[in-house]
Amino acid sequence: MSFQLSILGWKAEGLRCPDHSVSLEIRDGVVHPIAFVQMPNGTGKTTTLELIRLAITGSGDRNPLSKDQVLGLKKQNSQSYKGKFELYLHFNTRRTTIILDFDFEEGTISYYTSTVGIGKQPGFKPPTDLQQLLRPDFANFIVIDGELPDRFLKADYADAQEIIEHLFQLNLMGKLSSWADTYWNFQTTGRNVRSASGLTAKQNQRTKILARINVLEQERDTLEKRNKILSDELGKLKKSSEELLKKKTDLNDAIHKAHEKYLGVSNQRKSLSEKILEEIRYPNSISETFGRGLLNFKESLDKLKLPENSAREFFEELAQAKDCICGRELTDEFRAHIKMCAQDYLGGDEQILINHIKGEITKHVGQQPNVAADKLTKAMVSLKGLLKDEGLAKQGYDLLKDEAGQEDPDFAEKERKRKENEAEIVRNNERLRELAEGPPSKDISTASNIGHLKKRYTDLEKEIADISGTVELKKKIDVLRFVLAAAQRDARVKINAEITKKANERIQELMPSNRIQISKIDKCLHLVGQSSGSAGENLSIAYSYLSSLFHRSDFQLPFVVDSPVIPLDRTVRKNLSKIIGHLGHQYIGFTISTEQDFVNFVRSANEQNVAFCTLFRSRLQAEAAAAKKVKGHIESADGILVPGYDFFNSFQLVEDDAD
Amino acid sequence: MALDTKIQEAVSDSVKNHQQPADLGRTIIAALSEIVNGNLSIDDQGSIFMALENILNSMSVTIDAQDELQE
Repeated sequence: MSFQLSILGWKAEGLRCPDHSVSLEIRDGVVHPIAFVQMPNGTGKTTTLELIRLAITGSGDRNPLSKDQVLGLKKQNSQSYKGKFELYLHFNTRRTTIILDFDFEEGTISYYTSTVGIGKQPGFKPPTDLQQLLRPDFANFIVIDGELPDRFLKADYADAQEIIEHLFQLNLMGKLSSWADTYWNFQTTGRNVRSASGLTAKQNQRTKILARINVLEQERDTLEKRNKILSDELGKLKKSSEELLKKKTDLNDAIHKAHEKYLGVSNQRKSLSEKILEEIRYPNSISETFGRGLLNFKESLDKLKLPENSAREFFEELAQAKDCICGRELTDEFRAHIKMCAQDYLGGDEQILINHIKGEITKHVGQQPNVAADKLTKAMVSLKGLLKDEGLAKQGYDLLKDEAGQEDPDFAEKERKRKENEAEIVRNNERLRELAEGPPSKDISTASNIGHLKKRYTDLEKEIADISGTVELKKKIDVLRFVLAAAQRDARVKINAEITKKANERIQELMPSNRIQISKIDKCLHLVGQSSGSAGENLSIAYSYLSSLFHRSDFQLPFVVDSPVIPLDRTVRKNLSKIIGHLGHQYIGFTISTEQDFVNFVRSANEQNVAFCTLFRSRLQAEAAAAKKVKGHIESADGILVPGYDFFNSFQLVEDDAD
Repeated sequence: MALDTKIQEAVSDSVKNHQQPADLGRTIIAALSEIVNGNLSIDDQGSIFMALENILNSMSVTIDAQDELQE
């Protein structure tokens, strides 16, 4: 599907050109393919073209003009501080009007866009499909001034390439590439490692941790098995020793009693240790200071005001009932009393919790904050005594057994072995505790805590999965950027070559005896064997280039041309007239009378499709008098617009005024 | 409006030159066509991200330790 934009006409009021309204419409939405608007110098041709440029590109909306620039568009010697320009557009099947309201007091322009079916909206809002073309930097390709042909050929400007970039939307690939970068940043925000080498390092770390876990688990299993063997041996040794002792009755009784004593003291010590461990859970047992603090806290809880809760509903319902729950009839006075006192009874989960806290404090602290701390101090003293007694009992017991061993080498050997086993079990248990609860270590080779290593392994697994995805994403995005950049370059080369070929064919049509040709498009147009041509050649090249472009693309835009052939000689004007009808679907030429021969050439080549109108200031009395005799002329406060070829052709004004 | 045939050709060639699956070319062309014909706005992050996800899913890359990637 192609997109066709036409200029149906425009209307200007209170601006530097005469108030006027031009319609280029033949019938609903259909325009003359070629139209000439003759505006002698001093009529405001430049102003009108500038207004069309401002309206069609929205440049004044996107980048507001300075106050001086706006005031430069004001009607001279006018008392009004308002101005208005309306540009009527037709895009495919829809009419759109771009309205510029000028406030010369403020020096501002307000844009409005009125579209059939949508209504009037503030701002410049062209149809979505045209938004990328109707923009300030594209203005010079729609409203063409005399400098454009030269710019196409100058290396300082990239206009020739720029128009291709926009028309064929080659920049989309660049934009998509930029979005890929944004997507990458979006996906990886907060992630630290984004490199494949980082991934490899993490993978190596994971392997080391896994190997270390295997070694430590193997060690743990070995130790546990060894302990089991030692415990079994220990049991047998004890049994064997006891049997040997039984044979020595006198010594056995003493050893038995010593053992009983040792066990008794040891049990007392264990029991007291457990009680102390239980007690020190309570802060008030550690210090009287904590006890006092807890009592103060309880006191503050007593004063706490509770939030309202569902209990309020109970009192509300009670107050609204006919009778009280005690059977007594409720009066308004009683109801007010219930509501007033309800506050004192409100409670709920928070109340239960607070009461529980208070109860616990009372239970453990009581009224005297020093009791628990004193009790713990005494228990610690008792424990110290029990530890001493336990050591002495053990010593006595061991001495008796040593004595038995001296009498019996076999018993001594069993005791030695038993002690060895016990010591090894202690060492093994120490190591097992280290494997289970040891401090975490960053150095994998010396780390012992299996649980911690397993957690590191799990975390690393997650991190590696995360990094793997990130690295893959980064590589994909890099490849995508290369793909898009190469595609953009290649597409540019291919389109440039095609446009060059088509443009050269048109140049040949325009100037059959001229061998000037475009060699390539690289930012600007490069010519074969020369950097530039004559003014006529350059204009012919520019027209050929633009017409080839617009024929090639899906966008059919109007050409609005300021003084199209002033620098051209008669021969080139004649040749150029033949392709005007093929430049695009709409050509609007703003001419002065010295371009009349060109207009006539165009008329001869395209008689049925050319529209003419002449606009001049009404102060030109002789021309105004002639114009008023023409049917269809429109007179405004300061200008006259005359339709038709005859008046256009007969209008001969000496072009010596500045515009 | 359709995506220009020269752009389509260039995308397909580039995808091939970068040893990527042909499906990637089709996915990129589909996304660009959607933008060109106005069904997808190049300024709409949500839509573009979805299109990019389709494109990235069509890609095939191998990761090795030599891929030192830049932030």
